[in-house]
Amino acid sequence: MKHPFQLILSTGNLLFTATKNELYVFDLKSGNKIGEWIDTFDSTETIKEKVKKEQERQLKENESKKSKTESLEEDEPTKKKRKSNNSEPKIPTPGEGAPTIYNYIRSLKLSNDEKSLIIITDSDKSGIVFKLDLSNKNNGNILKLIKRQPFPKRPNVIVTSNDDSEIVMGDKFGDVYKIQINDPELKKLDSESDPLLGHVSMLTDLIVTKQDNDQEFIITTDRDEHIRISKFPSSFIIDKFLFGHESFISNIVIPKFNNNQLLISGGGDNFITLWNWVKGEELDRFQLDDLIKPHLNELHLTPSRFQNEENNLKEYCVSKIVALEKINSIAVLIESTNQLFIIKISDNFQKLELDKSIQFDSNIVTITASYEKVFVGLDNDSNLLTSIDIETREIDQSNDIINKVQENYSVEVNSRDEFYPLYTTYQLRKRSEH
Amino acid sequence: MSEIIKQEKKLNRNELQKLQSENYAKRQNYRQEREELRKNLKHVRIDQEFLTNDKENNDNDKIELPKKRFYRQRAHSNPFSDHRLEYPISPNHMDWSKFYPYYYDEINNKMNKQVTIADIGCGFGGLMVDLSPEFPNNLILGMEIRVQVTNYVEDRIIALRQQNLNNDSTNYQNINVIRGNAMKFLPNFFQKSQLEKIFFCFPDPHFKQRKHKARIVTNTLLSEYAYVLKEGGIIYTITDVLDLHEWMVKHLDQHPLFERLDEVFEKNDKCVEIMTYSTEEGKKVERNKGQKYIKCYKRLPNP
Repeated sequence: MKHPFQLILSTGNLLFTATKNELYVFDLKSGNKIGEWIDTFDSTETIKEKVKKEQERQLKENESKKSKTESLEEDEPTKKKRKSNNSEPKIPTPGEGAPTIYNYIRSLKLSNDEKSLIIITDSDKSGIVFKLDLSNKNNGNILKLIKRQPFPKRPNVIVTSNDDSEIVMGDKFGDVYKIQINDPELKKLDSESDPLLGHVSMLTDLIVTKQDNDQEFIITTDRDEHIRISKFPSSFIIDKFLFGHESFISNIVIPKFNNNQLLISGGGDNFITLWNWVKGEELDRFQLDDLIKPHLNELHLTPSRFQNEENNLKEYCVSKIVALEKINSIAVLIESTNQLFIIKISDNFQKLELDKSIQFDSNIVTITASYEKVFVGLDNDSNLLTSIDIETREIDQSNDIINKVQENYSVEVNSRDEFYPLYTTYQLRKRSEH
Repeated sequence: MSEIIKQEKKLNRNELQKLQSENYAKRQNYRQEREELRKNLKHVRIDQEFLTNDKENNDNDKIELPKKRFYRQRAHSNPFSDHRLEYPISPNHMDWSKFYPYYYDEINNKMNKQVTIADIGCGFGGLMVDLSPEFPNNLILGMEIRVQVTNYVEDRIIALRQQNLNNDSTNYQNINVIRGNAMKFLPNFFQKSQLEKIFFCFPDPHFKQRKHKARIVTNTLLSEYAYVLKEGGIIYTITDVLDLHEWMVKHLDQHPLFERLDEVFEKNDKCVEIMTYSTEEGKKVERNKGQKYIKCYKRLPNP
């Protein structure tokens, strides 16, 4: 059976998909596979290097300790033989019962000019930039790797700056770095490098945008309910916070309509919020409870440690919001459900209003939108991908291209047990005990 | 012979255990008593009216100052973990009247004053207690992440307020404490440009390099402090750890929104003096004849 797509991204003409460590590009005119890249990075070398560094540090520390004690007890003959410490560093192997390490592609993003693709790999904690070389369409691969920049901590989200000259990356430690794309040198980043800005919490989403007057801003969100707006690139000036969320934030979107002034945010709360981020105003809150409660399943049960006696406590979270530019709407996905909500931004961009709720045969893994279509990645044995026409908000019934894409996609597994994690957003929920 | 020693040892151990459990019970009792008192009085307006109402209960007894030894706790707390903290959704959601009931205008349903001085990691509250009479027109808030230490400061403030009801110079109505994680949630408490002074007194040094991000002064956190500080507001730092001092100076020097203040300022500023001699940690360093390193920085206007 085929592994469901973990991530999809579409421009309208192209469809990018990521599954495990494999990245594919499909042509949406023909359904042909026109690009592929597989992350073959072997992490043992970097781990080896790290272990060696740590070993050296410890040796140094022991040495200085020893020299201290020795100077105190100089008369004592040192009977103990020193271990020869020049042995090769051992690569630690996870013991039995250790959680599986999944090295997958964590994020797919396009540059603003749609000429580059930026992804995150878990294996070496890198941000990777590909140039899309469409002239190479017929030779099989339009992806041309131009930069692979490792980061000190695992990147969580990556975008390009407004002029596409830099990549801006936020990591799980809460720090944001920016790197020149065209600089052929890789930047040496370590724990001592100064980030652009930082939260004391995991960074969950990030947008670099600008206002009409060309003033640029960087908007960052974290697990601690914060949406922070700082100036860019002088990000030491915090402009404002958007307060209102009571649980983690997983997604923010700035649609292009209404001059980039709107922002929609969602996450662990039972609502999504519409903001005018330029004014710092909350415009509307859209409650999800009534809509989604009938569609929750056993995947939404609260973990046993936090469960009630009746064992019926359920939690859900928003895992993806995408803007539908053509119809002034957004599509909202609640994790591990088979529903997709199309929500209209109505009343002169002041209100969120349900337009349509679309049901699928199986749970939705991920979504993406182009100008004309919403593409939906499904957790299904036979049908992994489907599309919705934005004009009619109907599922496309006969879709040869989509079928062809599925035919040409071939990440095979033997059973569901071999699936990589498809639903991960819920892990962001905070569970404090003291 | 050895038997006797053994027996003696056993006896000692038993005695020790007994003593320990006695101490434990004593501490528990003490904490419980104090907790009840705290629950009742934490958010109460302690003033003349309170005194007359309370007479029958207390026979005009003064509430004793809390004893520090009953509030001992591990000295460190991980600022990155998800503690069960109470913090407002936004500064507008913060009910300050509970903390400074004396400054609450019931008729207009609003506070007369805003908090303008923050002591981050206030510990046992020594700095605030000494700042209180010096800044009678400012509200001062201490933030502390350790539960027992926060309880101590709360009890201390309740006692001080009650004991000093008729004291003209200060009645400690302008100080209070909150259990919180300032590294994560400072902007949830304070509006942009609300604060005039922020104190970092003897912060946790986090010696290991990999722990440096846990330090209270980092270039990323400084941007948040700059956000809550108004132009011309001052950050005070003091520590007895040279390495940490150099770290703080380096980052504050680098930050575009802060400017170092000179020694003339340090000599003439009363806060510097109070900070140097009044905190518990400062007194400890004094006793041990340790060195204290001080630097103050001014918030510059946004470029």
